[in-house]
Amino acid sequence: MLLYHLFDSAGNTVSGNLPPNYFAATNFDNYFKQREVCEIFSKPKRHCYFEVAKGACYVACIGDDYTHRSFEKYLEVFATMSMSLTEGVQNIRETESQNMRRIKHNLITYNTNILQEIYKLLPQQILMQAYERQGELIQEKISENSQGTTLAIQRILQNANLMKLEFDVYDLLRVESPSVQIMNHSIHKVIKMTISPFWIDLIGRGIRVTIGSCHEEVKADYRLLAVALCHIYDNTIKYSIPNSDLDIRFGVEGSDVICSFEMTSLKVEKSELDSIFSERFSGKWSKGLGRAGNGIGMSVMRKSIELNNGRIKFEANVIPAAATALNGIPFERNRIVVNLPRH
Amino acid sequence: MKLPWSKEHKTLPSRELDDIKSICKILFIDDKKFAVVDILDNAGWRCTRRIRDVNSLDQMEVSEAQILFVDIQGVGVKLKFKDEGLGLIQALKRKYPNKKIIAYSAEDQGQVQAFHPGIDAADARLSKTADPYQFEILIEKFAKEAFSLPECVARIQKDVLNQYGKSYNSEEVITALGKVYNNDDFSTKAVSKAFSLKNASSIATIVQLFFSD
Repeated sequence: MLLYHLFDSAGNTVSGNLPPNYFAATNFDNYFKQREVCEIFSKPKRHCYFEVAKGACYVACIGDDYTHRSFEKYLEVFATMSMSLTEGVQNIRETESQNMRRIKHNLITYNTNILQEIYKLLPQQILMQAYERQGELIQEKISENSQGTTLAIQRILQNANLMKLEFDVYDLLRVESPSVQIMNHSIHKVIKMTISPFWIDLIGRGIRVTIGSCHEEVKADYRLLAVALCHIYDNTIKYSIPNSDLDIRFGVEGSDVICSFEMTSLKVEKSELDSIFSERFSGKWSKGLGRAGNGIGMSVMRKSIELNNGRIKFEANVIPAAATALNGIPFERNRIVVNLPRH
Repeated sequence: MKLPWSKEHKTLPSRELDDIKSICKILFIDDKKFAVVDILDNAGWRCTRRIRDVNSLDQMEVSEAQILFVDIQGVGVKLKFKDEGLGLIQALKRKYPNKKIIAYSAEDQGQVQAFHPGIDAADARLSKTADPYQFEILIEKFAKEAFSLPECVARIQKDVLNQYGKSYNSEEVITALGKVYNNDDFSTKAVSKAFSLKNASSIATIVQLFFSD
């Protein structure tokens, strides 16, 4: 019987097959003993606990079948394996915790925004003082401030949608092959629905949006398509020069419907074009401007589109004459082109 | 001249989406209040309702509904299904193979649920966080399959071809449907006769659903 247990550097279990009673009775320490009689199995055992680069390993060979030589071979194997395993697990944990930190940060931000929008409209103090008249007071406050209420609803809608997007992205990144439900959708309707939560920020930055006409339907999973589109709008808001145009145009190419999103956004260097859809990649100018996010937006876009049997490409500087600069930061007319299967 | 003993010839119902919306019965089985039920009602789906759980597979709300949304968590408890909603979906699909059943849940349990037979039995799945649009487009698709004449004809053509190896054109299907409708007999026997098929039970189910309003 071959038993083992791997620990990470913090003493947490990475992997192992020790029975619970054996684990409880074992005093993990640096030792090397031969032919000791195992109290649990009442058989001879050779066992060893040793530290590796990012953790520790315990190995026990129990029974008469093991020689000193074979035991040493096992130790060698486990020493090699445990190093790469503990390192691998640590890397996975780091990535996971990075993802979790990002999600937690974003969700807290969106949730706070929602609550603050409500409290801006309906001060907590008022609500607390007159609990029994709460409904009446809310009605009064809303009718007194219909413009503020409209804005608050728009902001709440935007933040709630961004929260939903976080959950969808989390699912997309977590699951290797997420469930995909392909149905026919009017692409024009989908674009208009998905862009609506972003209006408030697009308008805030002076970005004029033109949506061309299209009567085509695409075969797509709505949720995944929405994830990709929302990231395109989010990127437009983050990287476009203020007071510019976002042109959304449609076309048909064979069995594909093509949607192009043209905007005046941060310059993407030629050397960066091949990496733009790679995970954790941020461009020179977005980093320089301090607007680089976590570098997953573009890769999420690509993954979502490809799961929809579509394609996505980035075309830089499509109208060279439109290249401009703001405070020394270069902006160019860039285009994201999405091909989706046509119904 | 219409003779007193001649039967009045009824034309097949040709329904637009608004007509379909007012006849299609949609049932949500969910132990918690779910705003999409009201949203659908506001959107014109007049026969949408929710029950907390199912007491019996024969209960009226269930037997009458054409489209059912089953929450994976918290329902199927009264009938003691081990896997709650997923168990209920399997039982409903066994009893009513032609009803459209959509599994939905608050949590996307990803790959684990993807392999559950309850999920396989469902006609579609949705997350509770899905946009109302996603609920509506799915309902529209299933409701049209059941109640729109062109889609009903297409389904019958497909079924006849798959099961009997026969190819009927649209006119032939419409004529057969007309015969069934005018005789007011939607039994398997009558449908089989009208379509010149032996034991056309699956076609009869499509026909019964189409004329069920």
